[in-house]
Amino acid sequence: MQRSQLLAFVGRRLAGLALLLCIISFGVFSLVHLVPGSAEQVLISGRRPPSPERVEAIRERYRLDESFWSQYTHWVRRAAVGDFGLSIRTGEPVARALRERAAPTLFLGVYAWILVVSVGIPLGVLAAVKKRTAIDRAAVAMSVAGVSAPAFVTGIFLLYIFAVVLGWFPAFGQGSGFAGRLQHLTLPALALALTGIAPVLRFTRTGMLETLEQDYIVFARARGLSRARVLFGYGLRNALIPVITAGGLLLGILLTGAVLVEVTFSIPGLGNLLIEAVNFHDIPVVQGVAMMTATLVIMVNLATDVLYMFIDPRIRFGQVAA
Amino acid sequence: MTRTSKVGGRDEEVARGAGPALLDVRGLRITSRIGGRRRVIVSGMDLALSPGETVGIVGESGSGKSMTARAILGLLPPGLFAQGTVHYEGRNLLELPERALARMRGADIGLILQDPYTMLNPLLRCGRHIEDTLRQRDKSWRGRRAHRDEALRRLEEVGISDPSVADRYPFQLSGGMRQRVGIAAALARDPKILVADEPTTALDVTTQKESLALLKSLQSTRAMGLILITHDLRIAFSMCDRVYVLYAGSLLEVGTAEAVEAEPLHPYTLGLLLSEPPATRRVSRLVAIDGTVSAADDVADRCAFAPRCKWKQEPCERGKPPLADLEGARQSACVRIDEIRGEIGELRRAAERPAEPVGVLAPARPLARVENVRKVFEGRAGRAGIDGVQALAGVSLEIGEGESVALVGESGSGKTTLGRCLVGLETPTSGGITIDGVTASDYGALSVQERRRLRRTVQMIFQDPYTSLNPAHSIGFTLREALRVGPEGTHDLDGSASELLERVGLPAAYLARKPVALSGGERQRVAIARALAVRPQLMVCDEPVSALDVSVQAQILNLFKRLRGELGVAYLFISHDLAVVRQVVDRVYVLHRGEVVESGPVDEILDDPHHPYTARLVASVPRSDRDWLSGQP
Repeated sequence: MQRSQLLAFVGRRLAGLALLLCIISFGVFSLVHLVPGSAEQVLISGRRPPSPERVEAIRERYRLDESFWSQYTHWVRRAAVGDFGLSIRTGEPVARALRERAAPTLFLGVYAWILVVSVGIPLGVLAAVKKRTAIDRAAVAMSVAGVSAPAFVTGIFLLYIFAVVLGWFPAFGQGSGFAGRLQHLTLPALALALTGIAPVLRFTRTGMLETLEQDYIVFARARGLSRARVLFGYGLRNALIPVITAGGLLLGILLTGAVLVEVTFSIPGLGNLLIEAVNFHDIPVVQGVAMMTATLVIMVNLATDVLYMFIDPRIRFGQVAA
Repeated sequence: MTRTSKVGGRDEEVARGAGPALLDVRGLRITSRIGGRRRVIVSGMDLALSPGETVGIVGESGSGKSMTARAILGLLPPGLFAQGTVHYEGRNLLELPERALARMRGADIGLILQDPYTMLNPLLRCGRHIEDTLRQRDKSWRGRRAHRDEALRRLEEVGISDPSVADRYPFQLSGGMRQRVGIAAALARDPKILVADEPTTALDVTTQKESLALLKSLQSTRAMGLILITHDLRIAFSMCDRVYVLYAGSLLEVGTAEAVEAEPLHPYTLGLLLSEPPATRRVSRLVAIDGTVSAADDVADRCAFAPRCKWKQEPCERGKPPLADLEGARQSACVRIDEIRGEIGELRRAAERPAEPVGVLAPARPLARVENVRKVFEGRAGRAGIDGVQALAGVSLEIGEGESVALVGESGSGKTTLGRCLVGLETPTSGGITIDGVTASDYGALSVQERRRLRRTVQMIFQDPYTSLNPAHSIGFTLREALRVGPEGTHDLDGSASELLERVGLPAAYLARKPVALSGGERQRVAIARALAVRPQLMVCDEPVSALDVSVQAQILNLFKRLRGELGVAYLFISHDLAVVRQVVDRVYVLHRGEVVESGPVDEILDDPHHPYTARLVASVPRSDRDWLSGQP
């Protein structure tokens, strides 16, 4: 009963997400025709005028002779299996570039995410428990600074202090092997995390403050429950519900942040790829990156909703509209 | 603060109990400090509790009764501070460090809160709440399994024999069941004292009686000391050995339940007793206390009740009168009690005068007719396992011109749904509603003129005056807006608005105020004035006094009676409170699970109920005598 309900829920959401992806893909595909210049010019570019054979190949590949709708379905069918065509700049398949560039970005993102969660949530709890004290104010002030300073600014600061002055970490590159990556990506992850910590800290603090005022907290204390049990079992668990909602938001912040941070630290990731592609009007690559990011965001949002169900029994049992 | 509590009297009192005091509170003073400003919340509370004794702390909102309870357990919210002494087993709890207090909570002193809907952690199964308490007792040798068995046993003790309840989440249980789970969790470590803060206020009347009976039996089998905090004197009298009457942060009277009920020795206690509408008969006019409850901080240096007291004289405001000992271990903080005792007695006797007969029921021209109305709320589309909920299962009733009719029932009976159908806030699934000759079953299908006419004929008063007025608009704006759609048109709106206010007993100066500057009773008066603006023939009043304090409730009930006399307006009074209903209506419909199970003249139905459900409702109305709880539900 319960499992089937969960499956039905996930099924419904997946159907909705598929529709959403279709709409996004339509927009992404339209880029080719929206960018100034004819489709052939957009898809070939380069300074030299293209040879007629080249133009013909492109027309063939993108079915430019057929209707817009047929071009679109053709493109989607290939995109669905990860084929976004060839990069205009390098002539390589876009899929290969995506694969290569995704690895450091993924590493950076997960690393930053771990930092955000492991710093933001405890600090938020601490700020709430020590409400109106110096600790609370310092934590909030730090989060304001974190959110108002763009990642490339904090990144440059970190670079200067830890890489140039102290020399603890390398200043650029992605390193090789897990240890090398860890070492190379610590500063970028930190710079990236600083922007993400702010919202998580704030959400946790507000949620925790609200929760700590609830009757069930007073009732738990009145029964003599240990401080840890009250704070984490009763307080944090309830306070985290809004924080999880912020998960989707956090992903957005990390994604935009990643572009800036990768450029600052010269990491050959997706962010750098995107910038290069945009600069070169490398539309197939832009399309690939856009579709990949959209899929990622949508999947994370679905995961958030499912996680929600596991944490809050009221949603699981259909008491509150999901 | 000079506070001279008579220690001699206290010792006597304690000696009368079952031994030395288990808990001894003296000179408890609670202040708040927010933004550097200090305010008094409770200005001097003394309380003694013997083993096995039940004492009641009675007070209206703002009396400081809940904060007193929380101060005893060291659970005051941040920003509030307690001074004085709270002695338990030779230690002053107010001086104990948090760690020592935490060890004591649950093991020595337990606490139950008012609202069963917010008391339990929504993410934890019910059994876990009890297991959590148990785990504090012995973390070492008992396994989870033993805790679980113990939790099931504890649930059985509070009357839950179905073991599957332990695995359910709080939101899957009714309020009464949640309250039982809460009681089981609070008592899992067998504390010697239980503080129950309005434990049944949020529950239905029949559930309230069952919960109180359960508390009473748990208390007597364990010989536990019980501090019952309530706003309802009747409940305090039937449950408690002694009562403490608290008002605006000051203790005004102490005595045994029998003695206080027989002869109150403070004007406030008298006022409370007289404000309480009797459930057994109708009185022509309830004796209400004028004015509204003062803030504790404003009356911290004088008799707290002086601003509302008709016997007030200069000494009452010269300083805070101490509790003075009277005969029979009684105490009163009224400085003039010796002089006015005779008068208090007379007023009490005068209120006992025989019932006023309910107006003759001449068959009036029918104003509203409800025929076989059904209302089904659809389950959410696409969600398996949730069917529609039938709120009304074919209800018929009639309201005559100028007649006052009650719709009585507990939560879930469908009474509010029917009221909302009458004013067009809900549309019945089937059945017919006719109001003043207009078919009102579906407001959406009416022509603009007909709808306007209906809106002028029927108005609604909502339960919560704190949310039914738009906080952004002044009272004048609200009333003028209502007047504009009325039959009088738009000339001299200000004059009409002042007249409306006058009619509901408020000065015209209130036109400029915002709702936030008004007390609950005043807001409800404004809500009534707003409804009167269109000169309605029928007012649907959904629990219009249940959110108000007893002393204010009496004022509003008197207002309803007066308005009916002056304007001849008909009422549909939706209420769970039979005592209130008795005072204002001619006929009663008893609603149970969406069906009318009984109807007729109010005296007949309440004096001689035929349907078992009506009988249960009547028996659940709190009474001051001790037999109330022992009787069959």
